[in-house]
Amino acid sequence: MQNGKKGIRIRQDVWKLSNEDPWHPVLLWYARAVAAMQGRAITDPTSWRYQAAIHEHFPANDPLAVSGETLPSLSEQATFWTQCQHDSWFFFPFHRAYLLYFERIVAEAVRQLGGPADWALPYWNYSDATNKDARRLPPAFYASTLPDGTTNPLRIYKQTLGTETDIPRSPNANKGLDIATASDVDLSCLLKPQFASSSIGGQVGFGGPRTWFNHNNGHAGACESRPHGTMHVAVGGPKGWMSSSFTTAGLDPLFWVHHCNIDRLWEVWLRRSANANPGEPGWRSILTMYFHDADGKAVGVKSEQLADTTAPLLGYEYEDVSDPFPGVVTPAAPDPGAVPEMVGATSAPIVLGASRVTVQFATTAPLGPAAKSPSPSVHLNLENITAAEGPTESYLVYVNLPAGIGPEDRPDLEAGIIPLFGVVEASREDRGHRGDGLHYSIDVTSLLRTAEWNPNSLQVTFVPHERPGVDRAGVGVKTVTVGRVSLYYS
Amino acid sequence: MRWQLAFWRHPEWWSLVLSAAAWLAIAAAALTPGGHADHAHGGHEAAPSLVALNWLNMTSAMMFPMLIAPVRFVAARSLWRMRNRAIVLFLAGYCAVWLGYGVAVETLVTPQRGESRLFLALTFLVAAAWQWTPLKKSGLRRCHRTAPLAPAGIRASLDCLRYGLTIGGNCWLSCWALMLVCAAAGHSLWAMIPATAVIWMERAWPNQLRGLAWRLAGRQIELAR
Ligand SMILES: [Cu+2]
Repeated sequence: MQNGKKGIRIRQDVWKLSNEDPWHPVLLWYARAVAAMQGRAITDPTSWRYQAAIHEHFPANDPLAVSGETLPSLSEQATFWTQCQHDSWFFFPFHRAYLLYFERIVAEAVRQLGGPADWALPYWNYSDATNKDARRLPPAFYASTLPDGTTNPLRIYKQTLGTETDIPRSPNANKGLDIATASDVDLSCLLKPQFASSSIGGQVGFGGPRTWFNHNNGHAGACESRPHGTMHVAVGGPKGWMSSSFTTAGLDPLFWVHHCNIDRLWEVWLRRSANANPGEPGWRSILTMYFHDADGKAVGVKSEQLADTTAPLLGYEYEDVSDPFPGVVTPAAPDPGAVPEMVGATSAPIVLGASRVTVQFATTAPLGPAAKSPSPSVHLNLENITAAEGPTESYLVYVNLPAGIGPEDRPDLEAGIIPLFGVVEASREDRGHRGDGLHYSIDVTSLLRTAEWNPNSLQVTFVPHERPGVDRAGVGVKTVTVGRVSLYYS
Repeated sequence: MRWQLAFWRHPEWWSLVLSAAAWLAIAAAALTPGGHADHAHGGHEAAPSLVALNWLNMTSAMMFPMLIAPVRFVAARSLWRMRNRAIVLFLAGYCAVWLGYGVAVETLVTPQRGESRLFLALTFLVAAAWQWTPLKKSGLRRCHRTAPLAPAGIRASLDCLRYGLTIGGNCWLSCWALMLVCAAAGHSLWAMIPATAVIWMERAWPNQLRGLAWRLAGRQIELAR
């Protein structure tokens, strides 16, 4: 099944496997292993629920919680649970290690069930322009049963109590229809010349801001915003496991094939021109992340051990890491020490609901170091985005969209998207969240270089993002508050 | 030019200079027999200005280095020409919280303790116990919470001041008991150094530190005997 170098597993494209056979052995064995892991107690580090709790565990949000059940000790929870790194330059290394040990646990379950010895996690390339089905789920993830007629654990979660529930997903997901728009799967994050960025925003890198251990506080990196965040929300829909909560995300078997693609995009990015991982010890070696291996033993890893996927510890390669932007030159990397300078902002919070909202604010020319830069970059900063309760949906952000003109008529003015993955949790002060919401920075340098912009003021328009099959009013989408919108030069 | 760029990149630089100066003043007092750090040991009340000075010193020495992130935040979130003013207003709001607490402690609590070393030991116990409470953890989590700041006008100034008060309040929730220990020890250098170490460590290893807190408390009680 796999034909890589000796000892190297190949992570394959899930749609190519599915087109060969909807129940390709890689998918069938994944399903069987998931069922086995779902049957294990939550105290077992190799159980399905324990693996999801590594991302985040919050008993009140756990749809599978059973009152009175035994959980791991508090000190074990403190070390291994609620560890996922978001809004941080540890986003990529953390999730790479998380996926690696998950894959080993699944592969061990596959072996125990009599499957092949070289099982590897497949990836879901929803941005594949050559595949008309790219933005749909492969059938194995929504079929009701396995070929032998038993319940399909890739669609249905069989609770320990014996009752069956569908995994909540976007309405179109389990119908095999498109769940996302072209905007959701946009890969312009790959054109970012730098990995790291300022933790205060005003700039954005491919990998995320320089932080210490950071569960979910601060600015998201470019790839973490899109396609990572957008596809979380697209799969889950307004209410689903993958979108609504960090706690439930890992319970959906799609989470892992989604993150496998995000991990692949890191490889794609690294292969582009002069791109490189951070060299600072603050990224490479300061933080140790803890997981469990397939035998249930605890292991600790650092970012620098995770940089090469063919190293013995990792031992995998992707089937395809070709560049989706061949010939497109990455712009020169900005000075890593550039000081972002705020040149204007809104002064009151903005409430986003079901209709389009436009704000305008005064802007000035930069006065600090950005004034001396021959070609400063310009970023829109969206700060302190909060929501008291879900469900919420994403918004597209436009700059200087003329009043009375539909966003669909001026796609060239679309600056980006705010996916709002995890917004309710980020607004609640608990479990490593400090409660000040989500933050995004969007590069608008080339957008504002047009003649249309009067540099003394900026107009920003939020347009509700309509995803196929999602009935916003029907599910009662709640409002979201943007604390401040500002413009930065750096 | 290189210096200027360093100052631009690190708008918090002068708050760290103030912190260092405060440590020097405290160390000088500790190493001078009969210095002001021993003011309260006689059991008589200290002058209000001395109380304020002691608390201001203690706050800037111990806490300003913990404020690098919020100070950088207010600077970066403000218009270029208002960056330093924003930092001043933020620190003023922050210090106001600790000064208010300091006055309350020195007028209500410290005069009651007399000569008793047991009182000091008791504050250690309270501080160690506080480390375990959910409120303490909540305060710690909120220490670096951010808030939207208006860009211009009086609203910008008020927002910076209010942000200082908010962060000061969160920080107080996290550290009031530790600071009580320092006050009970007469703002002694030998209480402030371990307390500062605790504050630094709990940021990096909040879970591991709680166990250590008990051990530290036990050791301090032994020392107090
Ligand atoms: Cu994710």
